[in-house]
Parts: sequence; C-alpha cells; structure tokens
Amino acid sequence: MAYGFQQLDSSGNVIVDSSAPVQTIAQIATGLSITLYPPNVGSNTYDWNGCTGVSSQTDLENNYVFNRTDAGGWNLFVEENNHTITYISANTVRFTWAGSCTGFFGNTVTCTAFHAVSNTFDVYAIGKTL
Amino acid sequence: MAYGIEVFDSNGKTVFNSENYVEMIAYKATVVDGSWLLIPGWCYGQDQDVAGSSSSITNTAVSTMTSSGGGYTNNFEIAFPTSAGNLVGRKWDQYMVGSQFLISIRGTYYNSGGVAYYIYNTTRDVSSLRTSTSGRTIIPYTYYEHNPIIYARPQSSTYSGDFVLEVGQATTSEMVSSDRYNRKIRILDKASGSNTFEILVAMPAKDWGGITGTKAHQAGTATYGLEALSASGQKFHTGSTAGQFTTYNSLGRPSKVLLAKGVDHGSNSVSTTSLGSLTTSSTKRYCRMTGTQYGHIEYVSGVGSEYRQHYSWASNNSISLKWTNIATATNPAHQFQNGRATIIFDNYDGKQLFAIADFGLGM
Repeated sequence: MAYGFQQLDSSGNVIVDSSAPVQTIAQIATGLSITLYPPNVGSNTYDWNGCTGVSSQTDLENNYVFNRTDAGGWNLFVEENNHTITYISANTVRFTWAGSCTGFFGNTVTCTAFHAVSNTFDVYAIGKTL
Repeated sequence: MAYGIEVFDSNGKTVFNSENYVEMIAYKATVVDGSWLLIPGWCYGQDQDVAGSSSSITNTAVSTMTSSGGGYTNNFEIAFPTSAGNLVGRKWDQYMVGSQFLISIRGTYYNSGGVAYYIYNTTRDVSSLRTSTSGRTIIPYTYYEHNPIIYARPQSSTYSGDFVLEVGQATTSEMVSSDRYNRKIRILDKASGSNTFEILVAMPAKDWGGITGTKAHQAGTATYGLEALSASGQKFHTGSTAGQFTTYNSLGRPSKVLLAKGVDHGSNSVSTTSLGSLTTSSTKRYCRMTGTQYGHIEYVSGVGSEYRQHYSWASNNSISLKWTNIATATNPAHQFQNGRATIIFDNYDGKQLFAIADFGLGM
C-alpha cells in the first residue's frame, strides 16, 4: 500500500487496508426509545439531532439503519406500527407517528393516548464519514 | 471530532475513530444445521458483573416443603422465604447462591408451618445446598446486558440453500455453571442434509472492549497494536468504575460491509429481495443473521404458515434474501384450531438490517 492504515492478524493476513474502500459499521446510538402520539392527542413528531453525519434523505436511506430492538414480542391481529423517519437538516432526522386509530378488531375509532406508539432503536451508520 | 484518532479509507469514509463504536467479532464457532450452539455469557456482557455486599438468607430444606404439596424435587431449585424479597427480576441486579445464579421463580409455596417461600430456578445443580436448612450466602451482582449480532455462512464451498437463525434459552441439562444468560442459537436450513455453518458473534467495540482477558481477540493475542479509545468518564452501569470505552482495537476484526439493506416484510407469499451484487472473491463472506429470527404467522382456516427472511446462498459471490416459509419436513406448518378467521401473529417489527460482510483474510 502507498499510504494509510493497514491491519494484519498474527499470521500476517490483511484484515483492514485503508487504501481501498472499507465500509465498517459504526453504532451511533443504542436504546434510542421514542414514544409518539396521534395528531391532536399529543406530540406526533420528534426531532433527533444525534444522527451523526447524515446529510440528505438519500443519505439517510442508503447509509443509516434504524434497527428496532424492541422486536420479538408476538403481536396478535396486527403488525406493530413503526415511526416514519425523514431527514430534516445536517445531523437531524424527524420521527413521525405512523400508527392507526383502530379498536381491538381493526375497526376505526377515535384517537386517544391508547394509540401512542413506542419504538426503540439501535442506530448504525455504514460506510459514512463521521 | 475534537480529540483522538480517525482513519479514513480511500473514499474519505471513516474506518474508525475515537468517538463511534465499530462492530467487531468476539467469538466464533461452528454448528450443524438444527443443532443448538451455546453462546458464552461474556458475549452478552457478563464480564461487567460487579459483586455487591453479601448477606445470609436461610433456605428451607426439601423435606419441609414436600408436605406443602408444592413439589420441590428438582436439584436446580432452592427455596428462600418470600419475606427476603424477590431475588430475581430486578432490572440491574441478579443474585447468586453458592456459585449458581438464581434465574427465575417457579412459584410461591408454603411449608408445613405456613411460611411462604419462593422456589427459585438456578443455573445448575444446588443439591448440596437445598437438602438442609441453613443460612446461605447471597451475593447481588450489578450487571450490564447487551445483545450481540450473529453472522453465519455455510462451511462447504459447494453449499446452496436458504437458512435462518433461531435463538433460544438453554435447558437445565444444557446450562453452563455460572453463566447468567445461557443463551443458545441454531441455524434452520431448508437445504437437505446436515450442513455445517460457521458462526461469528459480533458487537460494537464498546462491548467488545468490556470483555476481559484475550478470549475476544480474533486477530491474535499480542500485546502490541493499536487501540482507539473514547473520552474518559464512561461507565457500563452504576456499579462500574469509570474509564474509557474501546472504539477500535487491532486485536479484533471489524465487520466490513459489502452489501446492506434495511428490509421490512409483506404478507405470506414467497418473494426475493436483492441486496446488490458482489464482486468475485475468495475472501469469506458472512450473512448478518439477527433479523432472520423474526417472523410473521398467518392462520387461515386453522392452518398457519410462518414466514421469515432467509438468506438465499448460491455461492460466496451470490447471496440474496428470500421471504419464505420456515416449514421443512421436520418442522411442519403451525396448527391453530378449527376456524375460519384469518389471524396474524407478528414479531418482525420495523426494518431489520440484513448485510453481507467479510472480516478480512485468515478466517
């Protein structure tokens, strides 16, 4: 290599060579828990300024992963609702409530605090300039 | 960044720095399709245990409980009075008797004198403690738990097929002494035969750096190299000593992502998702499996089908995702009850991360 950082293991095998593209996974947040309410019931958006390095909606979609860590509990009848996530400005993204106001059997009902949705995420950046 | 080190690749992207935690592997093993593999507790943070002040609590003997009708016959159980409080289930503390952890409460039972006891399940045989009544030393531990990431690839270079991850809890006969977590995993392979899979356990460098000794050093165990550290004042939990977290270490192997995508799911019909194209290479590629453990079950007229994202492996250079039924000849479709309603069970929440990565040469 002509420049940069090279990492070898104890047998001399190349593990990392920065003179070529290297996309590592960096965890930029862990256990990020966000509860949002339906419109007119409570706050239905939350702006998070910890999304290090994000620079556009395309960048957000291509290089960041918001991994739900509260997955795994079996939900009956319906799928769990997920917040939508959109780019706002450098390092800041907006979470928006994307649930539905339905009763136990899927019928439409008046929105209440019962329809609040909590999501918990680990957030990763992949191949980004941080 | 205001301090420390940062290394960029040829595209100016961050390989590692002193602020963010790069994912690295801590453990590797092999497992045959369908067989369970126990993952050591230190992969879940057990090395961060901090013991508190011990106390003495008097247990009750087996013989005094048999008259209660409660059934106190398992050598993996011991009874302490409910007046001592609940010795499991607190968020940040767990208790040990002898060298075994108290992991759950089986129930509340009374002895012949009418005193209430919790019967605790333990991590291993405590027959030397449970057969007589005496003061037992109980040590509380403050702990830090994290969930590692599982990667897998078929060992055979000629393998072709679809596979998913399943996670479980060790049975009493499988449990390892003094391992609080006793977690296990297995690969469910839709291809016929008993294929062997290579398993890697990865985690952010913060958690990797919290593992004591050299057991997580996957690139060698030398005392030289490069380590990147965070700012000082970091703690795993309230009982930890403050210090710096590891953000990178050349004794580890980082996950180098070749393809990645956050993927949700649809209804239960087979579909495929491209993760992109791989260049031809002999460097071993691995599939990030964690998202494949989640499923979506639809019961229609009483017969259900459970779908999960499978990695569809054609070769080291051709890997995609397939949303398909996990049922195999030995794992048939779910049966509900006779009925006509369509019922859905789902534990696949949000987009899960699916990725193909390598960990350098020498794997």
